[in-house]
Amino acid sequence: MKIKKFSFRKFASHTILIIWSITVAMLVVWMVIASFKTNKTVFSQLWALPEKLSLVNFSNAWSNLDFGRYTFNSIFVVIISVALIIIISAPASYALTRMKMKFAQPITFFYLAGMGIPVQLLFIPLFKIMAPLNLINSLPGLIVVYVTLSIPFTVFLLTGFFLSIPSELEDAAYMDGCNEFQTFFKIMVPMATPGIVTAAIFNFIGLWNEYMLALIFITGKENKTLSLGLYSLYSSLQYTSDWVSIFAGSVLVIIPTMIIFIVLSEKLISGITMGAIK
Amino acid sequence: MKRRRYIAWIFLAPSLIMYLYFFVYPTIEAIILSFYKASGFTQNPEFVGFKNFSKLISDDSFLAALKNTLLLLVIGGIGIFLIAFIFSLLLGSGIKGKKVYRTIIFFPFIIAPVVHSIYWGLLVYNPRKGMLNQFFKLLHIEALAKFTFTEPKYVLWSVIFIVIWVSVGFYLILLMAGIERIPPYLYEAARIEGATELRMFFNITLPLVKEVLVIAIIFWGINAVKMFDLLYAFGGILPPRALWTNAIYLYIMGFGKRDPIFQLGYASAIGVVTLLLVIVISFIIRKLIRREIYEY
Amino acid sequence: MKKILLWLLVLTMCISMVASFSLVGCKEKAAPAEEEAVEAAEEEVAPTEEAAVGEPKTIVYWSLWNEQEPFATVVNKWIEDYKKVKPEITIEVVYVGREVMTKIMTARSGGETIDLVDTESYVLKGSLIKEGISLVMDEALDAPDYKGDNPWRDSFLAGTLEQYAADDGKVSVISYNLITNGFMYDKKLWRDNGWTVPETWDELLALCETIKTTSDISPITQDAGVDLYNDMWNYQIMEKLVGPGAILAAAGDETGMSWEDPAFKEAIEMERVLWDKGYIVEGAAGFTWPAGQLLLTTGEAAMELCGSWLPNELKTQVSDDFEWGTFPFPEIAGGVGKITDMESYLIGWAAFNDTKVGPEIVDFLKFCTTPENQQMLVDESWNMSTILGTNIPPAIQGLGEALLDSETLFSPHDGLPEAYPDYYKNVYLKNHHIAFIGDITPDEYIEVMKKETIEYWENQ
Repeated sequence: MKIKKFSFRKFASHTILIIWSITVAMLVVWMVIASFKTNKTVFSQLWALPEKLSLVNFSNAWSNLDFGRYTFNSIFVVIISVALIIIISAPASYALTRMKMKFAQPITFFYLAGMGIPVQLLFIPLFKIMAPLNLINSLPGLIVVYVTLSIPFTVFLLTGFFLSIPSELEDAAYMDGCNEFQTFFKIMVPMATPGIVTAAIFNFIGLWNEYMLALIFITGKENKTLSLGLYSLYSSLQYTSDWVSIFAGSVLVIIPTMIIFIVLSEKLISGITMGAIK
Repeated sequence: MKRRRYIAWIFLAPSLIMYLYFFVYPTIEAIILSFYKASGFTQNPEFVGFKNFSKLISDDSFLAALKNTLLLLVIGGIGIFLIAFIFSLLLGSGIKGKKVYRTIIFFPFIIAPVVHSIYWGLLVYNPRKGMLNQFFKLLHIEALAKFTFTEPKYVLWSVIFIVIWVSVGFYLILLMAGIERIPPYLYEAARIEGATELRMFFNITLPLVKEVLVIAIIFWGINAVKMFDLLYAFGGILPPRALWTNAIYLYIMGFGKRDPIFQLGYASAIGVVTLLLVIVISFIIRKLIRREIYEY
Repeated sequence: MKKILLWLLVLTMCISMVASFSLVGCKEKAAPAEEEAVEAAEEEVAPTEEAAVGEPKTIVYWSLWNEQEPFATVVNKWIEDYKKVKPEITIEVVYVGREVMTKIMTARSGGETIDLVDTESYVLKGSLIKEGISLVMDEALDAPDYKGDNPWRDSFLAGTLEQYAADDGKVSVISYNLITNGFMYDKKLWRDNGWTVPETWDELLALCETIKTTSDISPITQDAGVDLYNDMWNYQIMEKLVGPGAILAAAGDETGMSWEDPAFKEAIEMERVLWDKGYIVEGAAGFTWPAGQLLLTTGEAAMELCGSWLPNELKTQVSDDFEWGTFPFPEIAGGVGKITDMESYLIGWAAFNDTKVGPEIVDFLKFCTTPENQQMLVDESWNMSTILGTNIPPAIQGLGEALLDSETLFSPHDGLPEAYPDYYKNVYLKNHHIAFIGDITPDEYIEVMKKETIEYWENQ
């Protein structure tokens, strides 16, 4: 009797999950099929299969999106931004939570309050600051913007993780004669790896699809990012009506994200389970 | 070896410098601007004191935007976390293909918002040929077959559903990360004592994922209030008024898309109010889920 | 040892940050344009003599077009051809896209130099002209055009320059692209069904009735999710009833009493007839753009009231035997508006008054507004040009002819967007949209317009 109940539950679980997965699959399948269709048929025959499997939309999207260069720009900007965010936020979070600083609480709040600022308000003041530094219309400039705007949330996340690390390890390290830097690098960082990887993934996803800031701070087409390119395809629809290129472009845009997510998520899971075992 | 207090400042320095110069300083300028009447092109902003704020209070469009923001936050949040918890239970009960399901459910989150707005707007919710209406037609449910999901009265709810569908995978991963940190022996012990699944959930799982839950809820809160891309892209030409949240309204009043409103001072005031809203919400969330740290 | 490594790391980080700041392109620091703009607070007039030939100058031109749009292709060609004529002038064009004004606002506050911008002319009026930072073109207009025969002013269709002049009558916006508004349909479909173009409102209603009862085709399709598309009905009807400017006057009337003019209520009632009789395709209130206009391409709807960009927009989606036909908004019995009263929705250029290359800009614009160059744009974009001597794109023949015969041109949305942009968005469009789809009655519409107009002016 017990065994029967067990598998009914599993059956129900699978059913629910499969139904949900089908809704996701429909989006992906439709998008991929649409990117093989022509503009004439993509909306008039919504559910038909494409007549022929030509890659012309993909090559249009590739050239419209200047896919090679834009991908490079996006990868360059996002990966460096994420790396820098972690490099500057992790020590800060550690200092605020475990180094018994005098003004830890107010400073932490000061950082976290930044999460609530609507980014659009900062366009003009930020532009005024960056212009004399020659950071406008440059990828490093965009990196500066991305890094700064991600600090509040990343600090928020990492302070949470650092707080949950037992302090005995820290005390043990000090007793062994480590100084603050050694303690941080050799003990705390490895312990906080799940948090760091989580922060890295969150930031990566957020920045990869971001286009508003790129729109404002990047002017020249050689510096555009992938998501910005996709957005301009979308806003040219009024006169180009090239819907199928948008679908093809979106399919192309997902591929790097998927790869990076798959690569990183393995680390995330393994990092967490390791943390649990420890 | 004594810990040198000043080292902490060295750890803090790089982020603090960037934060102060590139974030706090512009924010202060933006906040100051909320006390002025300024178009983006004017050379001489006019000081108006609290006038922008008093205008906000009597601005129907702003109040509607505020209401929409809160609806998105609360309804969206409830939807996401409810479904995420249910899924985490389903996936945690040792079924096969857990990783596959998790990846599939997560997938919509990495797709560009523009694609979601096209897919859902034109294909799913389209009253004439959309999937949902056709589906109900097949089932011969006339009322729903003719239902216009994206008319002004209902479009916000329809879009909130899209947001839930897109985001649930992300929060699912977060929750599962928290749940997997719970040592299995706690469950074993409980099972031996005869506890049911439900009791184990409420007495073991829920308390121990509190840390992750707080982070997840606050992350959702921030994102809901600042959500822009999906709403802005929905409707193609212009985001429909029924979808205007604080973030969209700010953009329209300050920068506009084809509308030469350009009232930057007013938009900054909206921004200040939004900031206050976020602070209040974070405060409430923290109080509601008091943080306790379990060491094990 | 570890300590040294750590300091090395911190040092490297700092160096790389500093290096990335300075490694950015060899762009010169933008001139402090802000100071000069304050100095040049009085309007600067575009000089008519050219600068010394041979001196290299640069025009920074930010455009509302996207790279992929046909307009960008043509503008690039103009720039290329102009370079052959005037090699010392470099035109740095940036195809920003529809967010061009946002970017310009941001960039100029940061001190960046932008000389020339093009966008919708009413947006220029509501931004540059309103703030008084545009370069006045009157003198240049009185001077000869590019070929040197006639004053530049005479190349333009009557009224298109004055439409967006400043309050004091000075012209800064050089509009080049002309879009109008009317009904679009498939000539072949209509021919096959024996339907004829209506010239009065009553004929339109009768035609809709015929279409509805004798075929499966919906008479009218509408992207009713887009409030400004819905408004096309309202300002067209009002124009035909009482002539242009009524809505604008009512918006500006602080007492709100203008809304009691029976024409406003009548307009809504006429719109509602279309819904109540089922002439507008079912479910339209829930359409997400472009669901409505797609019905035109598939032959499921007979006509759509829209801007004349529509044929170009849909050209890749219509079947091969689709024949574009257009007709202007019909006259209303008892109304003052004529069938030839047409909307003039313009896209144009304006320069900033702190530009250092005023004469060069003028010359370049004169070059771009020759009939030959404008014809290129007409052919690529299927939009009309404001320049006389260009022809009407075949797809919008019906509307183009009415435009050329027109004695009255009116601005889209009765000129509301540039005059009272926040009223337009938050009071007028808001209430018209729900009145149009029937969520409030015509009486309620009038009441709420009165009330909110008064509130709006009280809060100013």
